Amino acid sequence: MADDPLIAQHEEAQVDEGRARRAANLFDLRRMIGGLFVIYGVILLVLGISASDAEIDKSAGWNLNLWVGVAMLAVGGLFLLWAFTRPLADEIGAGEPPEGDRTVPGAHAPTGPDAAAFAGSETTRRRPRGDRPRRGGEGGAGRE
Amino acid sequence: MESLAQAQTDLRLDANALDYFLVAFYFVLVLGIGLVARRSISSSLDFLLSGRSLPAWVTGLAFISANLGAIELIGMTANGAQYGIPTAHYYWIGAVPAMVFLGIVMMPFYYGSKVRSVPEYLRLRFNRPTHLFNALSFAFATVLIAGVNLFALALVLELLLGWPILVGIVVAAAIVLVYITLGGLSSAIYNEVLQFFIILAALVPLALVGLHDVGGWEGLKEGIRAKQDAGEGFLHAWEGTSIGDVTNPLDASWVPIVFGLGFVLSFGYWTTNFAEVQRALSAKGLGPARRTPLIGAYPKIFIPFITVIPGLVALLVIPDLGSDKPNMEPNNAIPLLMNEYLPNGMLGLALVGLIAAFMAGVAANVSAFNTVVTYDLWEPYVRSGRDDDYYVRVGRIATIGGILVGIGTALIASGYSNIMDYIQLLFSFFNAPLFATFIIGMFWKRMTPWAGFWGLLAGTAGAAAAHYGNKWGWFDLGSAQAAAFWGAVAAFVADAIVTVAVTIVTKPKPIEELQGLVYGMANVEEHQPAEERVWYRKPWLLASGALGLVVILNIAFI
Repeated sequence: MADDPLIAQHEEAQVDEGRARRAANLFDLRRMIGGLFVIYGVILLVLGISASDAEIDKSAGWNLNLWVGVAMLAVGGLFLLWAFTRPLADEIGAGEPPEGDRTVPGAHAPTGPDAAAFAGSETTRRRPRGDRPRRGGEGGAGRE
Repeated sequence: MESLAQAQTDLRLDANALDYFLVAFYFVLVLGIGLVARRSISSSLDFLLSGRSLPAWVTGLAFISANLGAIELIGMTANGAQYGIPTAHYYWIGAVPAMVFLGIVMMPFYYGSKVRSVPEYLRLRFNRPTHLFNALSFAFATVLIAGVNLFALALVLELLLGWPILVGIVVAAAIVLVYITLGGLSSAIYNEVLQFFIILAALVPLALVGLHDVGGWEGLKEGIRAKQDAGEGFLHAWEGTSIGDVTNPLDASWVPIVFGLGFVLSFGYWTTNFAEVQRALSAKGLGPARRTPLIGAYPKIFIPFITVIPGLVALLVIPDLGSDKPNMEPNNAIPLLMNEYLPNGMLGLALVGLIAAFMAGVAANVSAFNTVVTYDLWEPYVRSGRDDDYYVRVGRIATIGGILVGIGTALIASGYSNIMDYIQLLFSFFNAPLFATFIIGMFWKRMTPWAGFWGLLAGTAGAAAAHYGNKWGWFDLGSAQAAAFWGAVAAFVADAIVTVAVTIVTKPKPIEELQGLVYGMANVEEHQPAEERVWYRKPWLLASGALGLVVILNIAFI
């Protein structure tokens, strides 16, 4: 019953449109998190280095800004490292291939715009659906 | 510290320009994510389900972050101060098993049947009346919860920064509105993942510095044992829960804890609440979709350490907490601790963390709301068969409408004294019966379409009966928490009985219409997906690891 008119209509809309562009910024998230943490880390670190005794006293004797700054720099750095050592193209091609299709493990992973196109074409045939009648854009509302 | 309990302004943080800079920088980044995500939207599926394209670590963290909103942080820290370690039941019994169940058992039906929302599953499995009933009640409950989150955020901003409530509500709503309207679910999910890390960066140091101040874990235990209103019971999860001898701080025996909270309430929330399930549906394949709740389970197991420990610390270092003095409600435990320990800079970071948590709560509900309105109300019942751009527009307008109504309900929520009770009540009304209908419908092919409808209705009535019976003094169900547990049990039982009764007298769906929707007929892949040959991606291994950790922690804190 997954062959539902309302759903089929939207799956159709998926096939040919815009996956490339979407895939292109999928993994930017790692850079955003890394960037934010590094910037916050630097600010806290600078504050920590110039911390007054009163501030350290307030945090029960710990130089909180200093240590949290160091930790955030480290975490942010790790995210950036991850993002730059395994960039987008590799992630799509080899890291986590779309489901149930890549029968040749280790096949050459496409890069650049091809990677995005690759991702698009693969995800649209997530599972065998040859039995599904191809419907046009007009959905069969009211069928049930 | 002595000056804390004096006047209204005492909770006002000493935030300086730098703290505000950290907050402003965060807002800019959040809006930037919305703008970036906007470029990737070309269909309604992109806008409302992220085009089913996200990797499992992203959806898994978003899954947890969507729940790590206002109610969770503030409410669970308050519970930590009021009940102590037993609060961990909300995580270890009340979340992890249900998340594992969602990933292992239910996700093949949700993702495999290609439904775009939880109500849509009901439309395929049962009939349109069941679908409409659930879609309407979900949309209603979601907007109320989004409003409560907005209100809670505004309360904190008022308390900490002195912003008027209305300004707080409108600013927070406007930011969420912009980034979701621009970038849809991708934007919401990206921000949720970012929020998750920011929340940790803010709360872990707060918990650590508090623990350090009271003399470490041993010092904390000694302090709690000696504390007048606390005592040994605060330090054990399961002590005093035997039937007939209920002495634990939650005032509940193991029966409502295990069956009410652990089974009905928790499974109802985690497996059928679309705000959660939607995160998994946006994953890029069945494998990542199944891993979404399993990956989310790991941070969930450890979140009690950053909510319960600050709650207990607050109990010790803020002597007036929980008294009638102004601003000393248990709900203010985190803000009070921020004031107590954090220097400028760290203070700004903690503010960002709190604001992030609140926005996560609002955004999760709004992004689920716009999907249900578009796919489950507008498309099937109002205007079907339009082109896809039309439904993207509907999704955007539903976002705006949802947030405007949310602002309205936020103002209503400001009339209620106890937000937590209000939320628990909503959950017992809407989620508990839904779980009974789902579990029976998935495992019993014979269950009929009309049994779906009448079962849901009866379950909601059952929850209402338990709630009002307790409220009007017909029977006594214990503390507000225990009453919510029992209400969930009542909803589940009423739903199950009516479901079975109606099934017996009505006609089932033809079996071929149930392909992909019921147990034994899932749309599974014939061969093992290539990616799951990597050991750490095997769902069973992830699930066993999470359950094993829960068992170990329950024994450690028994």
